[in-house]
Amino acid sequence: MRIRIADVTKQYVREGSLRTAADEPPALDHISLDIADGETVSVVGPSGCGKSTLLRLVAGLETADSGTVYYDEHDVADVPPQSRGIGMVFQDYALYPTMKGAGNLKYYFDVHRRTEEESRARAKEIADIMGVGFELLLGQQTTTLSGGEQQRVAIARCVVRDPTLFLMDEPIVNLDAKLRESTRMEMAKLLKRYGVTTMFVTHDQQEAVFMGDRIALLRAGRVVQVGSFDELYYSPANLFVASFFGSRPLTVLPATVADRAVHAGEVSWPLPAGLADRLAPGPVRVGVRPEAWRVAGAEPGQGAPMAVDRIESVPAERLTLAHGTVAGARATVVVPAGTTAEGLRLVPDWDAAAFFGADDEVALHTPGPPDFF
Amino acid sequence: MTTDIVVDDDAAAAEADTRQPTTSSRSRRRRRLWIFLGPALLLNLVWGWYPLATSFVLSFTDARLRGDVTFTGFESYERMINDPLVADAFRVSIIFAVLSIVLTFVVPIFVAILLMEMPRRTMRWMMLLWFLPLSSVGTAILWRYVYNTDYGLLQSIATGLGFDRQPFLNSSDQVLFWLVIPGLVLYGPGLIYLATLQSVPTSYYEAAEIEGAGFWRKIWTISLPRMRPVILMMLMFAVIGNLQQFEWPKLMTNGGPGGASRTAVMYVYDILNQLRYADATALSILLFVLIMLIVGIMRFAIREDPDAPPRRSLREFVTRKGDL
Amino acid sequence: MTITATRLTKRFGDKTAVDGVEFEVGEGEFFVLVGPSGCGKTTTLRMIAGLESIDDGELRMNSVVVNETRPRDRDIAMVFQDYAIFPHLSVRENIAYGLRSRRVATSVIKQKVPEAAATFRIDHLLRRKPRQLSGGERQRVALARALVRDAQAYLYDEPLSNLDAQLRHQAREDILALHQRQRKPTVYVTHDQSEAMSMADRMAVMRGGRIEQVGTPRELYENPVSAFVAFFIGTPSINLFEATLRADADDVWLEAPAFSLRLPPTTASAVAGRVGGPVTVGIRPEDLHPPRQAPFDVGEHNKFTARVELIEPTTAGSTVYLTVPGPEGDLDIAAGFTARLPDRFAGEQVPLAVDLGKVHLFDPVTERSLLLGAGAA
Repeated sequence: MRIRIADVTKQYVREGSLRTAADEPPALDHISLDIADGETVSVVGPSGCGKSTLLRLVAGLETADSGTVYYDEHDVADVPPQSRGIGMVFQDYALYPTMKGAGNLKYYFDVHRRTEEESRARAKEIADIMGVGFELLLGQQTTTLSGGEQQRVAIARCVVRDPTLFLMDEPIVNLDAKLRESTRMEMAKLLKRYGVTTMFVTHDQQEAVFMGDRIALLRAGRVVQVGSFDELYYSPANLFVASFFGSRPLTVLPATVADRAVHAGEVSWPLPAGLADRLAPGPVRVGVRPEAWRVAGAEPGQGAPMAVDRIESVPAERLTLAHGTVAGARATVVVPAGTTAEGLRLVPDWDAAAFFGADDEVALHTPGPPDFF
Repeated sequence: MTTDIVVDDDAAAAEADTRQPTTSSRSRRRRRLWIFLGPALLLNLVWGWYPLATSFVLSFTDARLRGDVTFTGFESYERMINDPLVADAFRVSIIFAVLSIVLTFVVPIFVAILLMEMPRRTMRWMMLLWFLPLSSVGTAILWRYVYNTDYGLLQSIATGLGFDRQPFLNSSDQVLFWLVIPGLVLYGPGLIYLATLQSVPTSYYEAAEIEGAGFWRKIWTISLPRMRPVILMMLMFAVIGNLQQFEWPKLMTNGGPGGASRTAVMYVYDILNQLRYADATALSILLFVLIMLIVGIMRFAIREDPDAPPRRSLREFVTRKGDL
Repeated sequence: MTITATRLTKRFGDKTAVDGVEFEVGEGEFFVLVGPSGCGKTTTLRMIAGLESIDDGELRMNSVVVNETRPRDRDIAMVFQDYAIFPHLSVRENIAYGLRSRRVATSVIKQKVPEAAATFRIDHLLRRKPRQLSGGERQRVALARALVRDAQAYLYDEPLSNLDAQLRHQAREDILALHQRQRKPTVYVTHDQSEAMSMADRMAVMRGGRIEQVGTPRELYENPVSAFVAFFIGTPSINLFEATLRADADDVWLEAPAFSLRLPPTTASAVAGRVGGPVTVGIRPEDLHPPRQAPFDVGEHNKFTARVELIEPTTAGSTVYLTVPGPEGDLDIAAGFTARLPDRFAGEQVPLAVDLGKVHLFDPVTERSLLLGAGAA
């Protein structure tokens, strides 16, 4: 099923006041988003960006002030949540605590007056899909299960009703790091197997990248950018997108473009010809990823000195990182193994640096995905 | 850059099409709201606001059980204000309220705090003893026995300790004090305090402990501030309830000796018994105004929310009182 | 100061939460306790703080036994998971709380509080109440409160777990900055191994109330004593599977259901006594390479094929999830490539070269490493 969210706005009315306060920002501000049939779209953003509200709106748990949600071609404004054929997985699992795992799975069939055989057969089928040890969980009271086990039951309960749309609201945020890794793998396989249209809400950019065919980044009730990881990472629409993605922080250097060079603090870097032609002179902000720095040669004037706080080695990624300050900005930089803190001088790799407006955050130039192949 | 932000004419047209159903679903929601609220509102109107309005009207007439009713303006109010017994009754009500609040309101705060310090099991037993549900008529009979000047429990204790025989409820000076004492056991808001304290994250106390805070400092800087909204709410209830005290003095002393424990509401009751409806309603309205005044001042003067940012000036407070 | 734990034990009812834990945190050392939820790491930290009583064993600070010392007399500072800053007090009073509790002179408080606040860039927020602060600012209030008192030791209980990913990195640097400034023994609890790896001088991996291994991050990554430690350290997790050891004339081979791998001589000699028996093989995702990019010679002896299931783009390249079909169910394999695997490979069979010099072997029953001498454990 295809989902189309068309120009949706939602404003919460502040408690105690009868009218919508004009100074209160809307929770959702003219949001439009398409999810193709069978596609998984991750909706990601910092807390309070409206991502959960958007999901609840698609589920029918909230109503829009204006705008429409379409399931295929049908406007679902008047369809109550229970009739929309959706499967929802919540952050806190929301299992029925009085029932065993199996009861949670069969509840839907009991409510919809299906035969005992049918519901049992279906529960069995799901248990097979959910993999090893799942049937053991079904025999237990849900309150005795661990977080990860509870979430597996919750996901199974969701699958059992054959939903045409999956809605997941930070389903694995309450699990610890290692369990998150295996659970998200299980979910990704399940989604791939069923090809069900899915909206996956999370605050974790890595999880969003892992789960989503495409990623929609929200901020303050607006969609900032929608696209694949490569689009968001290498062609960010603005500085917010650029600094949101990436496992280590982007360095943002306040600088000025003049005389075909970048002047940041006391250093000047000449720009490559192509880039110098494209950038208008004036103040900018340069975004440099940790892996997009090059260690400069020994000759003076060849790069900005870095005041290093500490050198960290990351054995799992075969990396060495330097944390510190470059040209007045906080920086985390991938450096060659064996690099020492003294006399470290750096130059941005201009093929991988992005330029943003000094006052607004709009991208002036982005590198685009590198040539991988 | 590719995005799927679809804001084309189709979408706009679709939006126009669908505005109607959205509105209808909202109005349906509103209708449902009224259906659920309706019965409660109706009851409130019939049993709450209608009598209040009627008594307000009555207080400006010379209503009696029978006969014509004529409008008399403020006559009954004048009569009540000049009645020396009214002044006495208000005095009794206010002293009763103050005594009762000091004893039955402040003490349980500290009892609750101390209970929290006890081991879990002990705390549960103490709670059970303290908060036994008791009927007021039953306990009134019991306490009348306790206070009996001839064979009462307290008298035997007093004489046993070598004191003179005490008059207890028969002394017009002491009667209010003795009346308030049972409230320590009966009307303690302690359970609510305990519930509030139990909702304070233990990490606050742990952090305070690590930061070097002692027993009293933890109470003063954590327990009391966390209880503040509840304390203020209970204080409000206590003021309203105690100023309207009727049942307890009625059962224990019936207003005696010589009117020394006759509260305002008891006096209303006495006037009603004389079928002076206008006077009774006028007196009720006076009491109502007094309570509203006190509650109003309290709400204005005391900030309920301990976590709210500091208030800068009175003017800011007035312009932003919607936040309260 | 140093902190020494000797056979620390804590029981809740008949459940032993912490079971004979031993470690030492040296002068100025940043020590991290890491493990899955319920492993006893937080309970251990709370015993050091004095918030839990110690049922058995000894806790020493500077060689003085402090088992019975009250928390406030241990002279420690602690940052809680929920920060435990007081919502009814202003930022200034929150930071000053410990100083006031210890009756420090007002003039000193007036000087030290803004100083500590400035360290964490919250000096402009001193008049605010916590409700008006963002999550990151609240956390910095907690850090300032810990810093201002010049405590003798610092304890952290998952201080970053309530922060958005974007704030976490800065907060991590803040905590390390505080540590570098104070140079006091620090015990830091987290369930996130990557956080532990990036912050710790030394760390302990806990499981079921016991410490599995103590060491520097690199030691734990390169020489895990057990399959659990190997699995716990590193994301994506190490690939673990069962194989049988087979010897031919010259070499020892790992026989997995769908492929065989030849062990290098040093590894082979370490497990010579187990030939014919089963072992648990551990291969890190980053030790699997596309054959042409492998930094070693690739032949039939160190290669197998697998079907690509999912390709996750990463900043460094890609993480590829694959399966190897087997008679008893599929074997799931993760591989970390430094290059991006194009999407068209999804569903395809691809060859993987194994860096066998970095393979880990464990006893399938005890889960102990077969490659480390007894001394290393």
